[in-house]
Amino acid sequence: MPDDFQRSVARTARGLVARSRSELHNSLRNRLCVARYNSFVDHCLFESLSAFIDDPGAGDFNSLALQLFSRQVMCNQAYRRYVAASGIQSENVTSWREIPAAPSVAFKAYDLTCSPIESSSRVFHSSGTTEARASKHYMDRAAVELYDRSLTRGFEDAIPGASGQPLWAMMPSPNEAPHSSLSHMLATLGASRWFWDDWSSLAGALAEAREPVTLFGTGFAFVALFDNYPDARWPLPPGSLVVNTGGFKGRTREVAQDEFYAMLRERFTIDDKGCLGEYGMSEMASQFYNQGEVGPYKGPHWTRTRIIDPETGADAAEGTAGLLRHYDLANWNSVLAIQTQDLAIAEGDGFHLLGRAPDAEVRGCSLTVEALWNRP
Amino acid sequence: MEPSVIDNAAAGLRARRRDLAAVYGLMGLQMRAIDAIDEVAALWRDPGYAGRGAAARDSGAFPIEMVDVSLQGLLPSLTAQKLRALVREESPDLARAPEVIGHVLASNTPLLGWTTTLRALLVGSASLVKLPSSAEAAWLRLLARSLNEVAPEIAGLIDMLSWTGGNARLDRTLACSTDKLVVYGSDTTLEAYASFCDPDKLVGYGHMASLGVVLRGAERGRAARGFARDILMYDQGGCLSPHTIFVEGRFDDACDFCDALGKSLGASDMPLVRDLRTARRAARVREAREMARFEEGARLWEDERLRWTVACIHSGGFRFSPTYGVVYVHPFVRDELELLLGSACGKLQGAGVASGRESDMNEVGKLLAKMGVSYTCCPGAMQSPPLQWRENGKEVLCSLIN
Repeated sequence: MPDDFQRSVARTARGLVARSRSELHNSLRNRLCVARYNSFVDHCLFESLSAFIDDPGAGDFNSLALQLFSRQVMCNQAYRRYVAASGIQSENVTSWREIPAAPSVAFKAYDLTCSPIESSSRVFHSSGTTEARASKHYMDRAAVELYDRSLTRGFEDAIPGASGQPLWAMMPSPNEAPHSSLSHMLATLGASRWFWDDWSSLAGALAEAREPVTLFGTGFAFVALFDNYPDARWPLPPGSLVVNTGGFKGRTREVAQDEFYAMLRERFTIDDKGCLGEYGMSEMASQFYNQGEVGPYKGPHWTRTRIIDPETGADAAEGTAGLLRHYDLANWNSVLAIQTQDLAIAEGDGFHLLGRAPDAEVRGCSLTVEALWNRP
Repeated sequence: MEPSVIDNAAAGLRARRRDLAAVYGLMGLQMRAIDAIDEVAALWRDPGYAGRGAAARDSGAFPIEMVDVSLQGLLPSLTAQKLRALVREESPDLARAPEVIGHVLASNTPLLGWTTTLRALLVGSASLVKLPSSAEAAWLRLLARSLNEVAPEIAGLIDMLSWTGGNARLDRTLACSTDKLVVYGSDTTLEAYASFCDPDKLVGYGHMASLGVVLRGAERGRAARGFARDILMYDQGGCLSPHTIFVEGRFDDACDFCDALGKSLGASDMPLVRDLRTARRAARVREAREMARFEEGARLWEDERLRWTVACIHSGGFRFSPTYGVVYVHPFVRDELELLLGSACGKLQGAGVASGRESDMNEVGKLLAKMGVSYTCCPGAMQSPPLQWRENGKEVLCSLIN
């Protein structure tokens, strides 16, 4: 984190509005040692990203993405190697679309971090049901700060109706699951009650709910609740919201999406608009939300998503399925561009999830039945 | 499909097998099967055989030009003389042979149905084959047709059905209605069958992978051409497809071999597996390439069409590939080969070995056998094992005896 000296320099720098950015940097570079200069640039970028998350008018996505990319190439050793091996010179990248996307599985094999892992204040793991190794997303203090800002602002923008009402989490608390990004997220959002493997408490709380509540849980947690109380109904007070994330694989029985949403509506006496979906992954600091059973997922203004045709490596033709590639300015400490194995189809400025590109068939010895979702 | 369909098919096979055993006796039935197989092999060796024409028209996902490479290894092993030698060598107790053997096939290679049903015939057993889908039936149907031409009564000992895997009710019925069950598939599939099948009744062939070895002194261009064929065959989906090729020497030597391998792969006229261009395949290939780019010092050779990928890596030993034409090349020194294969010990099936000297070949062959490799051949012949191959080290015929 920046020290007082750096903060002072940053304040001065912001005041020098008449001078061009390069002029300013050259001037400062001459006056500061390289390490301090880099730290100062880091700080300026961090501040700019924070400001942009708060206000889309405070910056330009492309410019910020390129600056963050430069930082990550410089500081993230594994990513730098990858970019070089891809034949890309970072200084020649002029659009966020050209930023090389790291495959999400790289988080399993490499420490994709811009700072020493010892300095990480949090490490978030994926928890695939059959995956040999979990992804690890290291975050230093600054990264956590930006993450928290992103998830809070993203939730507020996507689900304004949740503002001011109690948030109940159907998952372990951060104390019980310190490496769960989802638990961290719900704690940051101010979850007031946690329900995990104690469905009777949840059933009781739901029955007693008199004020609107936002119930946030994983798909398999909802199914486990319903299976434990096959005949129960919990009519939620008007204005209540149900937010579902993740899948079912390996946890409970599989439930088709239409059946699942029908269950949500029926059990909670809630309309389709009150049913929301969240899509995220431990490798990413930002989330995508949808509304209703068929609503497309949309990301916040500090993200961009492309749908890639895996055969050509280019954007999938309109209306055809492809793999999601995310660009997330809130991914401060790792990589901002991530290539997922999640299949989706574009709709407007959002996308419809189709699941994960499966590889469940026998291929010699390489069977890998991965979890549909990459996050607990 | 109702379980009764499976029950009825098994009952029909059992009755036909009993009838034949009553007519010929068990040994006579075995001899009749040997003669029939010999005749079928002769038919398929004839380039003008009508069955080959049928294969050219309807061969499912695997074109006849590709399967021919495997047939070149299989057919010579199907002569009456060689089959009798196999029977003499293993001397299976025919009195304890199952009347009906159930077979569960994976879809990754086309001739699996041939070898497993022919082995069953050699112990005088009928075969009820579960195919992963009807589209996979093409090559087994061709075998049944050929058998029917030369010995209809023997052809009547093979029946095939298809249903989607993981249907416990149907899978259990197959296990219950047959006397022995040979299962090819994922470890998950094997576990599923093991859960309702007596261990003595189940002969399982789970996940296995293969490797290549290029020893110092080997003719590298020839080795590269052979391995290119081994990799492209069945889109690298067979258990005998090489995942990692070890090149004796330094990293530069391995890179030189990669150059040659890349050229051979690019120049290969091996036809593609049909329906190859799937999103899943492309996604896996791209992911493997991106991951290789992350690796320190790794070098890549790749084609734009995603048909093949060669990644030269420094370390880590044997590596499982996602298949789909992705192969790793790893330098080694002789003393370290055992260590480099250690993590895959027990999962290794076959090895293609290129060597300039027989003594080197023997030395490495012994080591590979120690690591569990059950089939060693020269590059280019990995997908062409004979019927007599002791897969996973199991006896070819006696493993089927109760």
